[in-house]
Amino acid sequence: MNRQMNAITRVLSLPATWLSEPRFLIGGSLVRICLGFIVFVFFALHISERQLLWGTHGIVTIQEFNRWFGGPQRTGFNLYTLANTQAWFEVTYWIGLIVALLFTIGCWTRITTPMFALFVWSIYHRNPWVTNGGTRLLCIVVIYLVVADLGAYLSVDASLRGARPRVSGWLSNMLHNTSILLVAIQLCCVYIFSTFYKLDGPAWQQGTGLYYALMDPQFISFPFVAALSHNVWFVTLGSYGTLLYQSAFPWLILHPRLKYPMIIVGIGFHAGIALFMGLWWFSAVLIACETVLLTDAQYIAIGTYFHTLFDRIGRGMAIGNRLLEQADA
Amino acid sequence: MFVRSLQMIAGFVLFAFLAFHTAMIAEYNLPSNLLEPALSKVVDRYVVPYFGQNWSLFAPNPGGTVLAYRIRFRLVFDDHSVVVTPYVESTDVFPASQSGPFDRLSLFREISYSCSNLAENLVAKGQVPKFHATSTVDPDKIDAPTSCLARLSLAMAPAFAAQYGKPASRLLSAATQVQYLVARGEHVSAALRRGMTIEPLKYRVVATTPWLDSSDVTNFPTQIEVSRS
Repeated sequence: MNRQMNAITRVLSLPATWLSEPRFLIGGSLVRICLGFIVFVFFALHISERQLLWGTHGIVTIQEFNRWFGGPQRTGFNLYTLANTQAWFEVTYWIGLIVALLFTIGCWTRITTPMFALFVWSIYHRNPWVTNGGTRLLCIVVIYLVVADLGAYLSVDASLRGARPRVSGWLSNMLHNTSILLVAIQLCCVYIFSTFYKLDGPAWQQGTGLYYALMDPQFISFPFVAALSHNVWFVTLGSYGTLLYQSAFPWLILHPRLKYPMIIVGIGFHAGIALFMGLWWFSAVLIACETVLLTDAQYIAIGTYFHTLFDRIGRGMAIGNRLLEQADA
Repeated sequence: MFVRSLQMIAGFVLFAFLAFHTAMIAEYNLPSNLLEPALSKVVDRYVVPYFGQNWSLFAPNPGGTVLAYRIRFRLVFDDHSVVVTPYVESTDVFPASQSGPFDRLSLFREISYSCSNLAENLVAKGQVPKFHATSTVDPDKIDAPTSCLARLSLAMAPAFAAQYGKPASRLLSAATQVQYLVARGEHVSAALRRGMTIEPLKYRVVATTPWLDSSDVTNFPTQIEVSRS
């Protein structure tokens, strides 16, 4: 009787047991660095034309913003529309830039994380016509990450903590793991639903979708890309391959070993999109989100693997050198 | 024991939330289905604005209808000479199409995506029938990004003055005219199979704005002239 009770309790507490252990702290720290860097570059690049793009007298005034985009019900809370003055705009822009920097380097991460979400959401929604791709995903993901612990590794917080062990309660761990799961689920949604839409059109069904995507005059096309796009084998296999990869992603990343090739192919795929189509920032956001898919144990295993590999290569080279020296003598 | 039960409840609540959230996002993203009438109100209220999303990237028909725009400038200089430039392609006005990730002008190019996405939607909804533009373009819908675009190109006018012989410092005023063009991508599979080169896209003008200077642009609701070609 007692044993049965124990078994029931164990099953009932499965979600709690799984969620309350620290699992995705390295991935969380990597996603922080990547997203923070993307947003910091965005703020820093546009300092000189910030007035034109988002200012009170810019290409979309606050009145127009409210009229065209349907107000806060459609675009959510926005810091920039709280006051219609030049000074408020300047303050919001520069604090946004500083928060992005602090977030990237992992300074006071528990405070800068929600602030980062707020400033990211506000700048990208202030003028939705000038965003740099991947914005939709970025804005959703920063909301998920508000309660995540993103400063455990590679951060100023971690180096200040030094050798002292990281303390975190079970609730904090649970919220962190839930956030990371939300990011992973969102990433799966991107892949699975873009397959859904692609399959709706004859171009992808007939395996010519890739041709149209690569030749779209909106995107950069290098001469060799144009040449490649005229190759029947490349276009057909590439189009069907894209569909196959995108539809398989949500299922195969659940597998402890198959997730590695999926992530490697995904990173290659997005690096290709960045290089050959000029969609740099869209790809950067997607690659950033993929860093959460590996658990801490998996990151440590990868680290150990490469450490051993380099160690062996080093030892092998040392032996080789000794043999050479002996041969010389 | 108390903490243990608390943990158990928290675990269940979070798992339930994950399931609920995933279901909402899925139903929002899925095409119209039988559950839509029952769920759409709840789904919209939960998803919009913070989780609103659309992943129809390059789908269903990538490049099926291509919309482009071009711009010309009317530049007035301090010696009262007036230069009307020829129409310049969007990529020449906002020269960023061959740039790397750290080009700050690349954001200006995005406005043209916005304009073209918007017009593409209009085409898709039949408001601009394929090649023949009619006067049924909803001015509210096309005007907003156009005024944004006109303002942005006016900001580029000094750079263009320099290209047309006069230093930008002698520019008194500038006006800009935006023209939208639509092309329909030809069906490529047959041509690809034969290893043929694809014909370059043929564009047709579907809409032209009046001359807009900065005062026009600030109170924009000007009707766009839609040409029949």
